[in-house]
Amino acid sequence: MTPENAIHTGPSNLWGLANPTRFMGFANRAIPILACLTILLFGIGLYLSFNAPEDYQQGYTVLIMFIHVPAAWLAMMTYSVMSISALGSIIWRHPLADVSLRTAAPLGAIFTFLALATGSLWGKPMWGTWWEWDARMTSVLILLIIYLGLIALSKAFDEPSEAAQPLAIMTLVGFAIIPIIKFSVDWWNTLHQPASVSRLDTPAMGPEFLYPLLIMALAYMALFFTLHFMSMRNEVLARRIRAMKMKQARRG
Amino acid sequence: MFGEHAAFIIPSYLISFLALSIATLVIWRTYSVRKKELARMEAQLEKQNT
Amino acid sequence: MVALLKREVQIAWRSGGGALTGVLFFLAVVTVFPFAVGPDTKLLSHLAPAILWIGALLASLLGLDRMFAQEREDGSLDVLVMQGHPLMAVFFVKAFAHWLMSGLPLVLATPLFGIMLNLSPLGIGATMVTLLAGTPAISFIGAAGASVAVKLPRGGMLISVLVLPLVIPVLVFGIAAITGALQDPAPFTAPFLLLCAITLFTSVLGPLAASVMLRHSAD
Repeated sequence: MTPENAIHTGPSNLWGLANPTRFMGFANRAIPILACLTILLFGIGLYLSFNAPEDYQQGYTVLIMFIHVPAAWLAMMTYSVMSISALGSIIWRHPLADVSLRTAAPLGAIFTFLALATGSLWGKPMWGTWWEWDARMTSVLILLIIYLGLIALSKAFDEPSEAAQPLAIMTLVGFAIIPIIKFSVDWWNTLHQPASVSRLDTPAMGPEFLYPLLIMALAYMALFFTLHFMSMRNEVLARRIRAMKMKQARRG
Repeated sequence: MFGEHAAFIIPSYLISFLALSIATLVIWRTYSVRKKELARMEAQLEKQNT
Repeated sequence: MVALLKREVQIAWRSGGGALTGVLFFLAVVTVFPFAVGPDTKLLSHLAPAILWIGALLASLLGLDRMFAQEREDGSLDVLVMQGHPLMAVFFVKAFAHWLMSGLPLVLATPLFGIMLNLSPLGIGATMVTLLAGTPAISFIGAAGASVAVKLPRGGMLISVLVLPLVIPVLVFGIAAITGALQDPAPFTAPFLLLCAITLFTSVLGPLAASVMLRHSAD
């Protein structure tokens, strides 16, 4: 006996019987599998990373690359996931699309933050400064601001369902403008070319560096999907609880 | 152990590990809390219906 | 459409405090900079394009809240939607009217502030031209941000946070164009054309986003 049958309430009347239940069933089965996959990939990835030889120019600091680059890649991939969800939210008004969007945002912010933090820690031994306004780091910083703005927007509405369209629209506007931002930051950076060329570019990639990097990237991806599905599951639960509370309140 | 740059390598891994594991724990804990809450409310609903 | 534009400008003119407040804020930013960097006129004239652009940018962002202020107060948002004009055109006009009353005054105030910062006439001209080409983009993107936060009581700061990262390219190319005008080897045309291209792009994207947002909320 599931509470879906009892839920005819709420402003989003697409909270039909099938979709959330089917998703919950899918999530409950998928999450353990994804979690195991994540652990496995991290195990292999970390083993390969720590057994990679010293980089000719960077020494052991190349180890930071194995967690910096995947974080940066995930920061961008998360925004792509959010953009696809935003399309679903706008075009089909699919409630799960909104759930996907708002749960992905904090994860994206975390990956972006980690990209910046590890980038800074990588930069200090490389360039001598904790922060360089090079093209890549600056673009990532702007991306972080975009993420945080979207998170703030999602929390600004009293009624969560009211935030669905605003979030989706601003996500897509951001998606359209992010390439322009990247282009302009590259332009700006070449205008003010610092003396040292950015060494946060991935070094010449022999297979002894490429394989650990790719495995770590897959590990980060698996972690994202695990946490994303878990978060979506939480959000569906929260909406059920909310709907039940409203129903109880009306019973008096 | 990791050469002279250990002071940067270790914090990098540490902060990545901490951020991601804290996120995982928070999400997991939210799940158990809400699952219990929902079960409680459903039980209450059952009682009210009988 | 022209009637709609006239009406929008009239409304904005009546709450004309907005235009003045924007210029006042612009003045405040320009005034505050010398206290922070020192009164050395050579340094100030070197920084002047940046100071003017930042002042104009911030003043524009702060004024975005006003775009739908009238509609929020008297609830005439639904009226706008149902009027039968193509929605994108309506929001294009709205954003353009907003720019006329908030961005354009900033452009007109630039010569005075440029003189205060010891900027050369060529620099003042270049700054005015780039602001003229770039500030509409802020209003257009701002339309998307403002439409999304219409229902929020204290949406002003949030709108600024949402819009600021999106208009960084405008700042980059505006300053690059001024630099190109003032320094010989640097190009002026390329960044200026890119600036115009961005404004054209946002003149479509912004009203589109706003129309999608407000069409939905009228359903």
